[in-house]
Amino acid sequence: MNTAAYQLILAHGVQQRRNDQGWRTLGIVAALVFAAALVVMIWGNAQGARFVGGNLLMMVVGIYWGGLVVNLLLQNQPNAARLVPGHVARLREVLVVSWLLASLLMTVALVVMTGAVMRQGLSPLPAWLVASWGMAMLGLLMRWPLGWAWLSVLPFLGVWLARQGLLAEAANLLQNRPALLALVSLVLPPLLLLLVVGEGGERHRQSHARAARWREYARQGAGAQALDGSSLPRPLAWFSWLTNGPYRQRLRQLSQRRDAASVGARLMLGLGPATHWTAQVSGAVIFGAIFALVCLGSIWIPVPFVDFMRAGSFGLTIGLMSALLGPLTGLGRTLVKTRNEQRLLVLLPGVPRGAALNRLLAQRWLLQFGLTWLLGLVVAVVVMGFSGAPMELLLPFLLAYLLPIVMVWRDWARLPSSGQGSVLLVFCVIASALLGYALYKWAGVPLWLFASLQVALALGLGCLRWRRQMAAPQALPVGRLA
Amino acid sequence: MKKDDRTMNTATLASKLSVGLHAEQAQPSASAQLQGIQVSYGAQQVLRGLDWQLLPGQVVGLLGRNGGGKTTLLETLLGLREPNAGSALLFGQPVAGLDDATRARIGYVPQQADLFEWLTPAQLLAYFRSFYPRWNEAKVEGLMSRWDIARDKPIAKLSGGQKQRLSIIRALAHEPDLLVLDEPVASLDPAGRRDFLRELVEQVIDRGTTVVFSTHILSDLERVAFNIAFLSQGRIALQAPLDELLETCRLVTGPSGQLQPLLQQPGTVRLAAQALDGGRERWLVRFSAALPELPPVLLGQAPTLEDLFMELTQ
Repeated sequence: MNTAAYQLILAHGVQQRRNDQGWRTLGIVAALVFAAALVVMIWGNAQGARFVGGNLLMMVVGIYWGGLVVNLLLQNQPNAARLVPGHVARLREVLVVSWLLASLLMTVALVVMTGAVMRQGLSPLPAWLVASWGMAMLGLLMRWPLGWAWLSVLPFLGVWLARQGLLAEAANLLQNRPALLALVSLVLPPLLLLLVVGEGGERHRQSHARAARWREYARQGAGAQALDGSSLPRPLAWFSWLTNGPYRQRLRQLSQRRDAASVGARLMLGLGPATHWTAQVSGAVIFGAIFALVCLGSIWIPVPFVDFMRAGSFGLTIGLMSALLGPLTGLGRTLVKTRNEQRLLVLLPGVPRGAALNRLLAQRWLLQFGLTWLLGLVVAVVVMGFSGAPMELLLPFLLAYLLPIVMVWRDWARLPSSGQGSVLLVFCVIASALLGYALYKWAGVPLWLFASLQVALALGLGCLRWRRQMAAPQALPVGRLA
Repeated sequence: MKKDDRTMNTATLASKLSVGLHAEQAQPSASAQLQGIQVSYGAQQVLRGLDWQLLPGQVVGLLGRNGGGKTTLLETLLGLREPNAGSALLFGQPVAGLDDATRARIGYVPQQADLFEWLTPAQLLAYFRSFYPRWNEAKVEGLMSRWDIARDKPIAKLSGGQKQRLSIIRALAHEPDLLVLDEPVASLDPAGRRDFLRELVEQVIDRGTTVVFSTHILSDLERVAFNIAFLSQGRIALQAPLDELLETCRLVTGPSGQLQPLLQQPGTVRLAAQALDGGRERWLVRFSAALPELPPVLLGQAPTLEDLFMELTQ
């Protein structure tokens, strides 16, 4: 069997990254993860190591699988699907085999992780069921992103099914009938996944164009405000119009001004809406709307509101911080996206150059993201106080965001064109949070000590990076020296 | 004299034929002056000790092969890219530290037209107007109407040609003294190119604006550019008025031995040579003002701009 064609399909994403010289970041992240696991294991607690290791494995597999599907979708161009012999079949084979591999790894991660936090963790069979369907669903959502909206229904559906006793019945049925189990977990998910790869034609062309718009939306629109809403389905178009409001308003105000004091604010507008502070306002609006919907949904659950909040506090905190600090983790990527615009901006009268420009950007980003982080911290602590949610899990997560804040001080002129992946930055945040939790839970490190270390690390790193940015070549246009 | 001694490479030609390329020849009022510019991308050297000067009111068409460094040269000229060596001055100021008054005198149309796609044309123009002390609103309105650009349609939804026209309007609105255009007509249809060139001639060149633009559309250069600069192997190989080049250059074909005596005439320079079959060669020769009578064995041919491009940018 000639495997070269399959290797090329799988290597597509890797080649993209290698061409972009993005391996250094991956190396740093891998070293961080390894160091985290090592630290916990040195403290001599296998349970902690399993917790951290299991979570990290889940993240790595999830990110890899999601990235692979997106990459296969990029390769699945309508013209190639029609004209290149065997292209569709090969893409499908790679997809199914990769799904199998990712599901197996996810099963291992689930067993390891749940074994660390529960007295009796998931046994391999249910873990496999969850993993295989989870991976298949993730693949389908990469193809049909509107499905993410339906995910918010899942927790309520799960509660309803459990209350009706249907979940237990289904579990019994599957345990007693291996053939049915095999069908449900081994045959149905890959069959559904085959739909992900289009075969050319008008429908495929339309969906490919739609997917490209979505990718653009996701890439530019941290804060959902960068894309013209009229190209979206009606409810989202309306929502997009709403979230565009703060940026439009600010643009209208500042375009009237010509004074030197407003040059910095006008420059930041020109860098695009996705990096602007109004993106965070939009993020807060989106988060608030989703949160309100979830609260509304909780009326149908016979659980006191405080308990509901406590149970959902982890998701709430992650959602809040992701919404508020999405522009921070995506800063590199969005600046790469607007580097052609930056060529015009630096020629404008009044816009500082050299070290003065670096200082202006460093100060504004510190203010913008530092204040937002503080706001997120206060809201999360208030919610935790109100609901009595465990601080030991959430505080390390909140503190972990200090790292990306100081990461905005860097030599932007040498930024690689990949923008040094925002996903990897989020990965670092979560890895750091997990490490903090594990240290507290199993190594007996007090929270205050971990928090102090985290703050000290951020301050130390911040000092170094601030000096580096001040001494670096002019930041804009980004990546011109890479 | 040996053949090679009398054959000038293109870099040597630059020093002899181009319009004031050396510092000692430079006039203090030069709009732009580059000296000894070197730019590399890793191991790849793109500009190699390039000297160039743009005089006020000069209209220069920059020609070079794909990947030859035209965009890099224009970006270096504007201070958007730091050279590894050499100096670049705009209106007498180092490009790395231009003051606001000087920046207000520069207009730039980059190669990419798909810029600021999250804005509408009206928002884009209002945004840029806020930075410039001078802004010709009447000209903007006139061009927006004449070029049929919707003011409130998102830029992302404009056609490639409309985006390019908007980019040109933005660059012309503050009436710059130096206009740098990087392939400005690449995405325009013939009608759009004609309109743009008319605008360039009527309103920009007549104002005495220094214009430098790169393009691959040679017919446009023939219509507008008074000077042509050929970029080859990281240097300006030759810069001269187009009419003069067409008048004084000839493609001469014949036996090698018969071609050599041509170089003995004062002021005659061989710009390029190509070996043909049967011991014959074809030379691109630049004569002094008076064209000599060629011996019957030699075939002389007036070159087109395309011929000059092919010979001088290889």
